[in-house]
Amino acid sequence: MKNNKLLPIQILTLTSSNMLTVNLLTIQQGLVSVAKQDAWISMLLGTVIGLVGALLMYYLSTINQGLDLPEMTLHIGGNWFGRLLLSISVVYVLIYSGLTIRVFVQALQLFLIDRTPMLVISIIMIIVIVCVVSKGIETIAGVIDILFPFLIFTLILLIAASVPQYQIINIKPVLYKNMFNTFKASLPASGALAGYGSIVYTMKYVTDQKRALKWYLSGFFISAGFFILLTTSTILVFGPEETQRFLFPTLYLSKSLNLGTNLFERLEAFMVVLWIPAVFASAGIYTFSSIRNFIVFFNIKPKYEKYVALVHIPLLLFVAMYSKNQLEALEHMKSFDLIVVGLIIVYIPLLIILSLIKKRREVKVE
Amino acid sequence: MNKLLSVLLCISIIILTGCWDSVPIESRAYIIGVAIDEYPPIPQVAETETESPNSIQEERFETATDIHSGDPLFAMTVQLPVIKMSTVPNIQGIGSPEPGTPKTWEITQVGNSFIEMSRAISTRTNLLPYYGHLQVIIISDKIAKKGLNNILDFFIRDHELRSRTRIFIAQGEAKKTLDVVPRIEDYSSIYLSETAYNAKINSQMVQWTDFGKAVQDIYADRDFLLPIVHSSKDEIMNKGGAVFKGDKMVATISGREVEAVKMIRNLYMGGVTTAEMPHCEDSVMALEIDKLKTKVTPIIEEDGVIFKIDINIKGDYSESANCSFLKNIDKNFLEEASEVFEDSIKKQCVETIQKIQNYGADVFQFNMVLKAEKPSYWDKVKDKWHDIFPYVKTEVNVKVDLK
Repeated sequence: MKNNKLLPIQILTLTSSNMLTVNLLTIQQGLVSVAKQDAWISMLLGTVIGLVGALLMYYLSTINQGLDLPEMTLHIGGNWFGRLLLSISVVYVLIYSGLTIRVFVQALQLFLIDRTPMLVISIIMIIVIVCVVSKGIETIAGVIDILFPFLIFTLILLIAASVPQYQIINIKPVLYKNMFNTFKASLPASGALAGYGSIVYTMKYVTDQKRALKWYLSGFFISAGFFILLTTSTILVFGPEETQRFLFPTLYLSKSLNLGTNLFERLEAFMVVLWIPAVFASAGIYTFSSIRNFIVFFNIKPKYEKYVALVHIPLLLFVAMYSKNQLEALEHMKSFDLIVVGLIIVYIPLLIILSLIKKRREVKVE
Repeated sequence: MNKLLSVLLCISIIILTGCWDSVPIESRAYIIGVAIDEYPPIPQVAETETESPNSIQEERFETATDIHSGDPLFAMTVQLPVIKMSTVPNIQGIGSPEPGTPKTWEITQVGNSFIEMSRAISTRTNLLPYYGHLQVIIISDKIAKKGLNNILDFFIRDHELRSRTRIFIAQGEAKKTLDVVPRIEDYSSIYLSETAYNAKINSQMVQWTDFGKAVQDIYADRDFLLPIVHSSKDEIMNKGGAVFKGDKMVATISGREVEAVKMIRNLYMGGVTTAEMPHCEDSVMALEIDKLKTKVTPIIEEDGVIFKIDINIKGDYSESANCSFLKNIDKNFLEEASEVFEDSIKKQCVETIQKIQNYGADVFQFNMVLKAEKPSYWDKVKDKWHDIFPYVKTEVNVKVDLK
């Protein structure tokens, strides 16, 4: 894995793909149940909060060049405190990766392959992900470079096709007696965008780190833009009352499109099929991050690193199958979207402060 | 390790995936129409009575589901196309169907749970029922009057069904609509489904007939209209509307009234309206409406709210009937004709509002306008809106611009 190299432009596709997780299929429901018709404003605010988090992560990477998150955590925090800090990341990334797979498998079952057992789909998906991830970040990035345009095309098609069904009245009144709830919903909204955090795992592989920022921000804004547009479109088409009843509003949006002809009769199936590589990409990056966490946390020697990927198969499967039902899995996902906001607010600034203190000390010693 | 992963993957592909969800295309029963009726008690035939063709048909068409609890309340009829009898040239080279051979199979099942009835249908066919291509759901007015909440849950939850499926209310028995043998189309469901596209040129049809849209209105506690259909042996007429207050049908309105509702709600897609022609006795002139834009503005006054409805129409003067077409159409005539159309449309809208106010169903969705435009006032009246709506004042202004 160490010899892998990434071009700065690949940070765009890696960041954007990792942000376009299954959250894009589910986020509207959670936001609308809190902020009602103003959920789109929550998403906008969430993007602003997310941008701050994204810049903090980028800064953390630049002041610890050549290190990824687990390495820098140990470097800054030392053997014991560093491991304690890293354990949070180890648990979070592993569970989030498993949950991503679980929620997507649910969507697959609901919209495409209802008779195939969840266990089977999960096993296949996890094995394929681990297979690719074990090849290293360069392979993941290469695969994502191919898949990314298809994903973007699908999303543009979905949003464009839903425009004729917009009803402006569905997002009115704007911010009427709803300021607090709108702000409240902006936290899970920013959590849903947390995929930008992949930068702290991928940055060390970038050949020209100075040029990476613009691609990183481009990736961030592409994905955040889709989150905003899809949230707005869903509310404009369904209204807040109906949106909050859907488990997968984005897929229901594709199911409800009426182009006035028999065109795209099963757009939702098309969407789900195209979404498979998208979730694969996102889960792949998370799994890669998790493997890196494990390697550094347990101080695994390079010759044994390949077995860490294998260990992830049962671990991810356990997490994916842990939730008893769909609602419970989605609730866990929502909780993790909130936890990650806490991590970004506390964990990342703490690492930045500790890094700066350590650097200052090093300068003084010199 | 890569070898191990590859082996794992290959094994899993062979033993794990297979074809759980694979159903051969010829094994599916493509349900293209569903009709829901109130369950009528099956007429008791005396044992001594000779079996009439009707009773044989009854037995063939209506089978009670062996239900787990309660009494049967509904009769669900599904329409399956008999593909090999289709007039579309098929790849099997069967050729044209014999005249008089049924092109569809209507199966009626009686029960009180729709999923139970749907599964029970599979006891009578060798095919697997599939709702992915369902075109229409037709509900009898009797059932609609009792409330759509009672029947739609299965259709909302079923993952195969699309929210674009069209929903219609049948006057009388819904199954009769499926029994229609269309003259051009092969299947009555597709024939009915495609009539909705004509709302672009005929404003007396309710154009928003999506099942999903109706569900959306029910969820949001909004009153709404659904298209009402009348059927004969070989023809279905989609004209007029069923007025829903909440999920319950409370009345039917005519095509002209549907037209007025569409004008007020800014849903007008295209159509023709007529008015008496000035200076020409017993004659009419027609206006083909190209563009219609309506703005509803709530105005709060001391004694309540007034809805100002401004309808702006652009259209073509398209016909004069029963009057010489050689009559000179000049600027003055067009101005005069515009005024006549304005008065006529205004009258039509005012009368429709009054009539629908009597039913207490806010199909104009004034409540949504009030909520969006005057939210603080809406907060005060939302709990008693259904009591207020029948007495709400309106001011209709129509402006017709003849090209």
